[in-house]
Amino acid sequence: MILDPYEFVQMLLAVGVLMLGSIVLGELPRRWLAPIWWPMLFGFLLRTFAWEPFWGLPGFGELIGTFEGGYTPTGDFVLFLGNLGIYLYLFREGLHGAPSGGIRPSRTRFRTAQVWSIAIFGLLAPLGVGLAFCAFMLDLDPTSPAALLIGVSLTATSIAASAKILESERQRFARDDEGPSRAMGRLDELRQEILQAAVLDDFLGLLMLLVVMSYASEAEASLWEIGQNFASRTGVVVAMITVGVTLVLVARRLRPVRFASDMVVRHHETQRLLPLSDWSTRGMVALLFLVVAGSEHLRVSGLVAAYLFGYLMSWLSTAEDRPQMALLRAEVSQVSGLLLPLYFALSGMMVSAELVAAHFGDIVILTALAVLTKWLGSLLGALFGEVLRLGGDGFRARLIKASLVVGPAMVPRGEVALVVVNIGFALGLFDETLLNVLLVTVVLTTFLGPIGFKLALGRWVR
Amino acid sequence: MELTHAGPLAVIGLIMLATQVAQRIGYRYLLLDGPACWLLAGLLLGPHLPGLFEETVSEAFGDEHPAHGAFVVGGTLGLFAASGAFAWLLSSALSSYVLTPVEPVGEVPRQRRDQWQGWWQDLLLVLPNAGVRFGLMLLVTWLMLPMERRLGPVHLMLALLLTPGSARHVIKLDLAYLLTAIELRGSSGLPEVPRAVVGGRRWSPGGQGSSTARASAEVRFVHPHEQAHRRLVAVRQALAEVRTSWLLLVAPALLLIEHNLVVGQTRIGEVHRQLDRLMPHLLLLFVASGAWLLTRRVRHTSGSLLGGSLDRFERASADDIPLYVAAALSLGLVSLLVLLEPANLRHTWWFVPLSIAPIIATLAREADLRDGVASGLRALAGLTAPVFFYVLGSEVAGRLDAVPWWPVAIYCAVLLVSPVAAEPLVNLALDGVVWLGERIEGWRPREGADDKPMARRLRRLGRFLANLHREPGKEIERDLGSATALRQLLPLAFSDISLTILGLAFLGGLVSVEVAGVFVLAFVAGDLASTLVFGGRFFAMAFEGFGPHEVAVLTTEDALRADEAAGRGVSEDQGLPRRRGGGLGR
Repeated sequence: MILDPYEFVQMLLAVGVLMLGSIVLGELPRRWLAPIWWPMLFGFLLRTFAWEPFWGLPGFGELIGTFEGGYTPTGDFVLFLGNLGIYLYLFREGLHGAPSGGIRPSRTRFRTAQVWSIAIFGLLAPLGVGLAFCAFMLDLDPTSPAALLIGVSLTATSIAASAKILESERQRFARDDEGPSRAMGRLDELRQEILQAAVLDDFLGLLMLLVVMSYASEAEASLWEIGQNFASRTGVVVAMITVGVTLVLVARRLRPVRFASDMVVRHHETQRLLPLSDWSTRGMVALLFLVVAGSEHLRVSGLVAAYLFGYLMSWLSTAEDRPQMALLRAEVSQVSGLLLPLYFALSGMMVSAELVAAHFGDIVILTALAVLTKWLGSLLGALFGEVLRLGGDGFRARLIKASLVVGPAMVPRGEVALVVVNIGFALGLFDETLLNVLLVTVVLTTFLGPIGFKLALGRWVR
Repeated sequence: MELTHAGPLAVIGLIMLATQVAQRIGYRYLLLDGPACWLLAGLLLGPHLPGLFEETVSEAFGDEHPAHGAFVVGGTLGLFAASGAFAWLLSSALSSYVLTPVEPVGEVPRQRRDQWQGWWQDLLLVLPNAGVRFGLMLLVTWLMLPMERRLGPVHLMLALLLTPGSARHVIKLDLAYLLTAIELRGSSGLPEVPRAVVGGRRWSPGGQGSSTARASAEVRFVHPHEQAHRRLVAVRQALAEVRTSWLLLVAPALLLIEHNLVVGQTRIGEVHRQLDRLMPHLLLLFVASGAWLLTRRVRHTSGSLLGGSLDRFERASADDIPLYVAAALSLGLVSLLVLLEPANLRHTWWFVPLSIAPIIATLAREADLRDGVASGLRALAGLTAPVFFYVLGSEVAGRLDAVPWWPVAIYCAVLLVSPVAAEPLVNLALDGVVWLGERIEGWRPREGADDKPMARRLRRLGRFLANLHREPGKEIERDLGSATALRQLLPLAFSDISLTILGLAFLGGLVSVEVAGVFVLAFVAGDLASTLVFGGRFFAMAFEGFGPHEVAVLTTEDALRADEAAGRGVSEDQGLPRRRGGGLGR
């Protein structure tokens, strides 16, 4: 007997309560807050107050047991579902990243350079300040893996939060019949700039995560061994990408290979007409699972692999593949949208009220630094554009834009930062105190950023 | 939070890949439906990959849990498979509720009266058919299956599970048909036929009529095969309605029987006690279905009764869909939590998705949102359900020597024979209802007596009954020529919902491998046999009465005007061919 039905019922109930709590709590303000916030809060409340009605439920005892180091199939499976959600989410984010995904790089030299400068400075400033915070406030060696990982966790930018606000503002302008006006044009330009910079930030942040992970696992080793380790991990990723690219390119030319690849991932033209589950999505997700499992086996983060796999798929897709890619993105979004709140709620359950209260000062300082560094990053990006004399808007206008809207838009840290923090904890680099400080910081930036951004945006656009 | 689940991911990824390839091959070369392909993949590959799910992969990926010492792959795979079954049941049940009504191009939208009439017609066609098939299946199960001699709950459960047909099967044939039609169009170069799309707008061909009318006209080219495809879509819709009835009528009975199996009580005296425990299940289903029917009815009339509270759901965008799916899912789950003891759900949780489906259909009233939610759940089911069917197939394959082969053949024979056997009964039922309707309609008050309102209402009911079979008010009957066509399509293959329920009972240890094995094999064989036997008739029917030069039927006033105009000829500069042949198709 492969299935214990009682375990499954327990799992269903635990998942149902986690989902329902997250949704009920987040229903009202969800239009302009990142999806991460409410599920995490629900998870936190659930664990902190240990509400009797919930604790008594079948499934929850098992879940908590898993959190405390035990093993129950039910608890472990809920964690597994949460992980599936984050893998699928990063895969989808990767699919958005490449040119044929929704966000296109601007053609002008100016804007591309502007985006890159915002992204790079938005990465370097939090990283540097994060390392300094570790050295002065936490007494951590700034070259230690833990300090580096803290720096990396401050670099990521939540695309979802900013995109949501931009989209709602756009709809508001369209409703107010200000559609063709200058304001709409400015908003679209800003939207493109911010989203591209955020995507780049996440991409660079995940690459850095890869570097730090290779560093972290060999902390006691010599510099030569660390270098070897990093080279081997990077080599794995490069080899995976090369093999993937070669396979796709070969598949496009050789008939038998094309036939085989069609069997797995090709979307059928008539399929959209009929209510059958999609074949191509399943094939692609199956490959994703295998890539993630393979990279975990090779000690490369599966999360980075999921993102890169999506990025690669998107990059390799041609105009002919566009309908299929759109369908893939839509279906993966639907499934990851279902499972992702579980991941957030489970992360929220890791937060302890006592530890947060005890280190509240650290949290406030780190949050302030996290907000300021992103602001600083976008200002530096604007200045850098001026130094290179790239043209475009005037210097003053660019400076105002950077300080007023781009900065706040880049503040929310969101999902990728959460992933980095969780990896740090799983690797044993963070103790429970540090985990709590970082988790709450991530949540606070996700809360404060959108508020500032929404307030500034309307004023700036007009 | 531990982040690696590499072992389970690898196994699930491999299974998904295997089912994907199996489906592509099975469909392309054998016209097999998805679940049949996935089962076959499990049956064929399962025995050759011993230990894959437990030690091998777990060791390879280091998934032995440090604290517990258990390998996580087996447990995770089992729960993932069960989740797949859950998503599959929910998605299938939901499609029964949310299938968007088909309005064939150019035809008058069905009135509410027609819809009710259609529903009654379906019921009249289905019940005798289902009754005969149930009887035959019960007989065969009782005589053949290696179980206790006394007629018991297992026999009843199997017969009930084997009774419904498969709507998916028709969808599959539809797809095959469409592909054939497209290929035919590509190879034969058949001309396309001009067609007016009339939704209350005028079509003024050849530059005649006012410029406003011309501007609002919408002309489409519809190939006759596309029209045939629409007929099949209408059949599919009828089947979905039938499935809804099945869910509401058969599933509770099944639940009762299965519960009976679990508690091991068979005496009639104990039934009321079981009913007490199952009542919340049934209550939830009927309340949810009632709410669904109510919102449907409200939409048909004023549309405002529940409108205010549900407005929010109607304004949802595509991004919100996962949220609503999650909301509806969790609402259903938690309401069950309040109503039931989880221990009671141990073997009957398959009823939960069937109960949640009408809740979701009720919440998502707007057609776009409904379709969005349905497609979201389909995406989830499409990813997870193949793993369930694969696991089921591989578990059966591991003990295939215990499964008797000959009942499988007999079940398939019954599958093919039952529509023929039911034919006289269906005719009798229809004739009986019409006869009764005519008697009631013909009844008049005595001379001099008042014609009371109640009597008038009765006569109206009589007219309704008398017209059930007579009046061509239902497009399916009109389209397919006769009700016989529909009847013969209904019992196609075995139901995938039934297979899922039985599979869960087997994996949960409630049903023996002999019983599950027979059903699994019968499911695959039945799929193949019905494709061969009924597929031919199905294709012939779809093409019946359609020559390449016929213009499709237009029934509204505007369309008839358009037709007259087309009779006078269409100007060449618009690129429309002149009308050929002697008249309209029908």
